[in-house]
Amino acid sequence: MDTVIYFYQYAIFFYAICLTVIYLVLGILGYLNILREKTRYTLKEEHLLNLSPKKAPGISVVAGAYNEEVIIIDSVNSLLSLNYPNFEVVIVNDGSVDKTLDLLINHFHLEEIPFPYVQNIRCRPVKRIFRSTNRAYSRLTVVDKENGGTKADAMNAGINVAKYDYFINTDVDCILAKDTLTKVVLPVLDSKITVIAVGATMRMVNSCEIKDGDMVAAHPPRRFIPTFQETEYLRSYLLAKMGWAALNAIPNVSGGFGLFNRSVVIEAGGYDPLSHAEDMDMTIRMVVYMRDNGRKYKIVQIPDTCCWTEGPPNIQVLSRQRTRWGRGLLQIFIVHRRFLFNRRYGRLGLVILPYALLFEFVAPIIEVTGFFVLLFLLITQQINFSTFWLMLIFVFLIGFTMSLIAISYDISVKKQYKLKEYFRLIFFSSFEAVLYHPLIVIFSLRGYWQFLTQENFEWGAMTRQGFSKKSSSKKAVVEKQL
Amino acid sequence: METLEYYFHYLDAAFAGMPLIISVTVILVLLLLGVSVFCLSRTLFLNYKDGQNLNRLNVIVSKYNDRLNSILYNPNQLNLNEVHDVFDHDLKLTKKWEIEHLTNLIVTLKQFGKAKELNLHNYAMVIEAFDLYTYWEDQTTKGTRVCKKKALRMLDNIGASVPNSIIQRLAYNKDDSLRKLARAESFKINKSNTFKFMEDDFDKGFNHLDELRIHSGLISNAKKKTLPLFGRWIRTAKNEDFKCFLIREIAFFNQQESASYLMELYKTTDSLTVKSQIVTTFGALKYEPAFTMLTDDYPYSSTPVQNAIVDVMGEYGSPEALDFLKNIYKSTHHDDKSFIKIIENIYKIDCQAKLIFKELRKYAASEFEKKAFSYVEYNSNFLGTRKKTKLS
Repeated sequence: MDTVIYFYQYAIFFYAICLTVIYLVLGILGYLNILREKTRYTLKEEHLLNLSPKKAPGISVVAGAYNEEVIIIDSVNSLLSLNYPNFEVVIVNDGSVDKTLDLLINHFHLEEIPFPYVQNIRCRPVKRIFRSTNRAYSRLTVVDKENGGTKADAMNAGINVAKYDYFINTDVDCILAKDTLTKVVLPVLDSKITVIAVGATMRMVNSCEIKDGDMVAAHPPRRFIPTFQETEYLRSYLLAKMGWAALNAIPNVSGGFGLFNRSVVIEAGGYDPLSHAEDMDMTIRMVVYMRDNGRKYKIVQIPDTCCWTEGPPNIQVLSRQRTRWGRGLLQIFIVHRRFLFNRRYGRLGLVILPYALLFEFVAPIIEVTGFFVLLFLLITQQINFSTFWLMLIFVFLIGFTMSLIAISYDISVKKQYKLKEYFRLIFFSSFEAVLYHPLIVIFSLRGYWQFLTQENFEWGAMTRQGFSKKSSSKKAVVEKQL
Repeated sequence: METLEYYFHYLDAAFAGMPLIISVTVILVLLLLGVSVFCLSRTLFLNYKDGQNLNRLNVIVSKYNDRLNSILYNPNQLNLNEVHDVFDHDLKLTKKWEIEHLTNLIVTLKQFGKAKELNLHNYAMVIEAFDLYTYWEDQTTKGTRVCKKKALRMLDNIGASVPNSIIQRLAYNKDDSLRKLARAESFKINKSNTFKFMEDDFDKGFNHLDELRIHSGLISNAKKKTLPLFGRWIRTAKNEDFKCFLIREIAFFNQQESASYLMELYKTTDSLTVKSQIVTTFGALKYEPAFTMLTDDYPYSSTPVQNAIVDVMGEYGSPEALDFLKNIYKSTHHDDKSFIKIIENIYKIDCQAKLIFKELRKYAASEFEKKAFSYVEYNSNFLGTRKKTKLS
């Protein structure tokens, strides 16, 4: 037993060192990438697209909606007011049982149109397709389909109807920055190699001031859970993904927001409705498709905040979200196991998947095991307290330092909040290891367990507050595919 | 420094005799602590810089905005001395940030002010009075790549001309983004040899963003003088994407004179992308002498070229084009996209009487075909009314 614990301690130590080194390297690469992106494009490049609207590549903004009556009108208005010369908005009503579709029909003066629907990728049957009779909403298309139970199914229907070569995958509870489409399309234009996807920074909309679907003022969340998640997002996007992007090894373009090459998504088979992590699954299959066909590709991450999304406001919702992510991660390694450590798939097989396996999938298992080993050592009085505190500080600093790096990067990209609001994020980061991270570990493990025991999974419920807070004071509880 | 040394020796002593991994941990903890302190300081510094930048901008705006407005939108032409008198002691700018903010302010007033009333003579006098042109020209030769890029963009914003020697130096830089920016800007700011880089495929890394930059440069040149025929650059171009771009520009700038050359190129080229681009350009130019060649070639062409030919027929809009579309509708098998394209173009030509469209619709067999006919009709009406609304 003593030998096992001895080796376990050493293994964990080297694991933590590897993690620190990887994060520091990603931090450096991320910083260089942010600098590069900041000086590469200016407002001048963005104006070029508006000056030559016919040369701007068309983009379809696709968003699924399931029982979103509280926010649907504000959300669609917000999407329609994006500043880009050539885009359409495709809203997929995924068999809502509330008034989502009725509200859309009445507010946007929709009428059913004869549409020669071609099912390029599989999804539940599409019942009707609507367009507005009002010219002010000519960019809007609404797809009414049978409920598929997953966001993936709704996205597939939207992709089938979308008419442009690129599409944005987003949710109706997301607020997009006005210049989002210009910002994400510039790296696509500025590349000789096919850009198959572009990701951008996402953050919490929870305490932001929104008027008629437009962002008036940005503030970090006031509630505990979204505040922790805000810093977590900044770490993920500005540090990790910007770093991975420098190596063209982004593991996952977020399901909340991302620009995708439509033909590559279709060729790769579209989103998998059975996947619990459909975004990572899609990214992997796109990369596999490109490599199998010997085509060069690029996945780009831009540092700009393009998307503001509603984060889980409490532990129950966070639990559902992270349990699903846990299920999804395990499913990824089972479904795509043949790519793991497979040289044929280059970075995907030798870097991305092994990293995700060792440092994302295995991490919660190691952490919970470590906790019990620590308890055992405490009870059996085998702890050397002169070094214990040093190790504890080391582990604490790994997370805290990365949060500080991410926050300082955020200010260098664009200062979104006041200084005291940033300090609030830093203050919360110092408690993340104790208050927030253990919850994430438990929920992830629960996700693994649910997947292994094949329990019936239910899509989570999300309390929607709506964007126009003054006008919709009543809160509604609606089902949402979290 | 002494404090740091003290703590270093303290930690060294405290963990002396411990295993190697403890020393490694101490080093890592110190490293992470250092990074944390650095990031915290950086956060404060960036916040300070942000505030300082805003204050500086406000200083420049409050100091110059009114006087600049009174000169730039003055109907009378002022000479250099008069401009000097207006600004008096505020004419000498010594700090970099002052010049940068002032340039931005002038450019903003120029771009977003009442364009028709802008006095271009006075604008030139203001630029000269502050010697902005010399400053930004100097910046293209000094400093980092970032500074050089900024200077090039500023010169373009100001609307200044730059000597060929400066462009040449930057146009062969190792940094692809600076190099391509310099080449693209040469269309607007190069005093001589404006189209030099068109002769060698613009750049080895030519992409769609460069297309947009060149296109914008060509538009601004077209306002001043007649553009050369693009055919001469297509002849020397090796990059297929660049060739396609030039062919698209022939359509945009309506260079009818290049059409016969394109017909020759269509016959000789093996590239499908170049071929389909030529066909699309024939449509935009409404170049009817190509009709027979295209219709003859249709059965032997690839799908993208066939689709382009179908679209061209819609552009021609002649009875012969309608007959051709009717024939291919009946005689060949098409995928869903091509099918919609054919009936769209039939409807486009036949929209007055709709006789052929109705006749074909009668025989639509599948549900998809029926819906496609209705969709084309709906879409054309939808777009038609949208155009009318825009016109009214």
